[in-house]
Amino acid sequence: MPQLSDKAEEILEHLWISTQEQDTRPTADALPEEELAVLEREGLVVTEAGTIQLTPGGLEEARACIRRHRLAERLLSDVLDSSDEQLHAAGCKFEHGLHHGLQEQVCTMLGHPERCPHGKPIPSGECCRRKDSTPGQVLVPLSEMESGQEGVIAYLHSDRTEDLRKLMAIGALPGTRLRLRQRFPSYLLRLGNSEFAVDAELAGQVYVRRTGGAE
Amino acid sequence: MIAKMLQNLTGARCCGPEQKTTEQATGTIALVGQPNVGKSVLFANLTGTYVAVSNYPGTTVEVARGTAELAGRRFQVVDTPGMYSLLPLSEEERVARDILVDEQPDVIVQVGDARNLERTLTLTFQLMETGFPLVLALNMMDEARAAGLSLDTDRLSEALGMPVVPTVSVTREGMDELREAIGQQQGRPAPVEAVRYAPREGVDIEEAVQEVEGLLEGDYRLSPRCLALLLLQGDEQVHERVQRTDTTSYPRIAEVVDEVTGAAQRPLDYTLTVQRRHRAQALSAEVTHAAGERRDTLRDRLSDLMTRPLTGLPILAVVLYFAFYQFVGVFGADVVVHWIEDDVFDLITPPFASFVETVLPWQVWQELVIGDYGLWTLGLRYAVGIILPIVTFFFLVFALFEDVGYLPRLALLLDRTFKKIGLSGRAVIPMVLGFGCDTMATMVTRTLNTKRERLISIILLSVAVPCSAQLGVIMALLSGVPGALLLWAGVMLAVYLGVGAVAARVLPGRAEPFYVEVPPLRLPRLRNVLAKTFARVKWYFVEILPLFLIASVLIWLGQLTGIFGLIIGALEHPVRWIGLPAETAAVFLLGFFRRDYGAAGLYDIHQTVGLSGRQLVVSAVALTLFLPCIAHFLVTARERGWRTGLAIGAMVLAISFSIAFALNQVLTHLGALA
Repeated sequence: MPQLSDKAEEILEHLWISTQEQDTRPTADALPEEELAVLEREGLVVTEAGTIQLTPGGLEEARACIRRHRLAERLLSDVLDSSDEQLHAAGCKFEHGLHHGLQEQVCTMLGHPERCPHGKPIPSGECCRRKDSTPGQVLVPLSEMESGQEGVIAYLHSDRTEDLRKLMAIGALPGTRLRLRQRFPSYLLRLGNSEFAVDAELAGQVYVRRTGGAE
Repeated sequence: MIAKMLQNLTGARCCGPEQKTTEQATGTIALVGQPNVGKSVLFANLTGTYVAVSNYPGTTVEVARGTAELAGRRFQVVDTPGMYSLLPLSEEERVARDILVDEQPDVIVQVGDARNLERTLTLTFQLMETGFPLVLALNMMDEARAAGLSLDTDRLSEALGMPVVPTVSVTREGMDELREAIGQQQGRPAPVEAVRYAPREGVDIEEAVQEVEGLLEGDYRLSPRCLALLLLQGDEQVHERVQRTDTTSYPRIAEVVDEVTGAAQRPLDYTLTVQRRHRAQALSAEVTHAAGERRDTLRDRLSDLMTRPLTGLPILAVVLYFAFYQFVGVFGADVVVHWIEDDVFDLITPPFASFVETVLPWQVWQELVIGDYGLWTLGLRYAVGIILPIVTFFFLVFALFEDVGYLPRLALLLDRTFKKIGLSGRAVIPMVLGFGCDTMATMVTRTLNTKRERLISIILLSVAVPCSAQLGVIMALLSGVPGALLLWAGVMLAVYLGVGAVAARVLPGRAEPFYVEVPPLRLPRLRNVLAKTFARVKWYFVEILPLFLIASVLIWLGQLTGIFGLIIGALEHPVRWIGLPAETAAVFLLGFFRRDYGAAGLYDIHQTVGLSGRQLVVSAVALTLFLPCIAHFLVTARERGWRTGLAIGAMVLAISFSIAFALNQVLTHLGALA
């Protein structure tokens, strides 16, 4: 398959979001004709009764685009500490650089994140299923840190608001420095000048950018 | 904190004089802050009334009130439950928030932890939004200094636009300055726009806040900005209130809220808290000077010894042996109880008995007062002479551990194990307390977060946790038979874990995620320990003593009417079934009225009839597992309803006899302990 243009990839992402996440029926209105024609020629989309549909091949390609886009956002926000506006501006350009296996490495380095910084799901890749890990991994869930390691909380991820609030209550918020003092039988962490114990379930919801301190 | 709760539970009916003093007050000061920041001690300093303080976070349910003279005015001071955020997560936080909203304090004093300025300021910004006059007391300055932190409070005060007073509540440092600041701050509302929130996911939060603010017309006491933010975060209580007050503009308000929250993936309170935290981090960095990296101190290493399984479990064993077995069991239950029984009651009882005999010449009535199970003999003598010293010693040890900070460490050590029986580490407190008094422990299960966890704890307390009174007699009973005590303990532990594991599987829901603050280890403060012990002993007296008196009357009625004979007759079957002589049936019935009396009665039977080692162990197991005492049963029914109470009772009865039956069969076949 030839390399798609940035614009064509953005159309695929738009179609993915409308059909897979918002359950709407996208039309050709306001979409650039030229790129749409390319996508149609490649067999990625079909037009049916005025609405545009992704073909199975298109669905796969769109999923990959979305994955790269959201991984790029995570990379920018977690590793480069970008602001919200920078995310929007740079994220769209950055993603196109993540082709050819690079995305797997980025995903692994980021600890296989499940959500983008805005909380939308990141489609999983092969590396997530294999649970790859690398010594250079920058982001890890607290539950996978070694005892004695230090880091800064990058973000919290939980499907349960009540769990999120428990973590917020103890002050485990993005930007807070932390040191894991003990892993077993419970996770004992120093946040600022206080210590808290959490269980494995809560520890798995805190993503930490490691800064060192291993014993 | 439990002491505080219990104190208030029992104090609820006798607050007449307190009411009077608060009526004379002309203003209100609310103390607000995160748990474990020394708020209660600061409250005591301001008001002169002592309230129990504890290390275990999150269990303050009730509210303490006192009065203080400040700047020539008399204030009511309210000590609100610990709060992390204005958006309540727990019942305690809801109470704290309601106090701010409903009582409209003249001044809010936020008590913050000087060692954790970021965390403290995150809440400060939110409290500023309420628009009430605010003073920040940066407490535990001594510990901050010890940790090598120096804080520029003047600069902080200037940046916040409100007074910041460094304090050390335990030594009363900074109290005069705090009083002065509170006096001066009256009528000076805090700047409400403490943090300007940045847009997220393309939604302009500030714009939405402004629109909602404009739509609010009613008088809400809280600032419109604070209300608007709470509305946007979906606070149901606030929504209800606004819907009732601003009936015409509410539909538009609801629309704005939907626009802001509808598209977003994460709750708005997360976004807002993160932004407040960022602001707090920046400000904290500006005013804090840290002298080098923090090093682990001796205190940290001691703490590590307690929390690591390899050293923590042996420490736990030593603690159990010396503090509970030697101090409570041997010294409290044996030495002191005998002294009270022999030297005190044996002196008073004969003259009292002859006095009763002259005043009440009817034998039936004499039975009620000085009979074997009479009001004096069972009610007062038993409750005061036997149980009281045992529980007092137990509560003393418990308060000591609480003050040192051992309990959260124990919680983190045991959470993983507790998860297997459907509990979380937080259940450590009621479970340990159960070895003192199951009845009190059952009441303390209230502090657990979910219904499921409360129910499992109550079941386990009912079935397999022997109270201190019972433990004393069982130890005496079994100590003559080698290996019997160990076998009994093994069976108890197996039943405890087995019942827990089954309950965890059968009851719907998931194990509650566990989190707890682990405060620094502290040397116990005698005043705290004694105050807490006193509060609990007082609770015991007020709550439990009447139940013993009721039990006396019930036994008297049971004997008078012959109902007891019938029940004992019915109990003889299962008793024979587990291989015990029929005489022991009465022991089981009485065991229900005074938990250890059963064991004591067994002791008597053993003296006269002579029980085999096997029979001793089987009966000890059956009795420990048997229905808890009547006080415990009544409290369970009150906490969880009569249906659940009776169901637990029936279950306990079935478990106790079937385990005893199985044990008897096994021992008989093995020919062990014959």
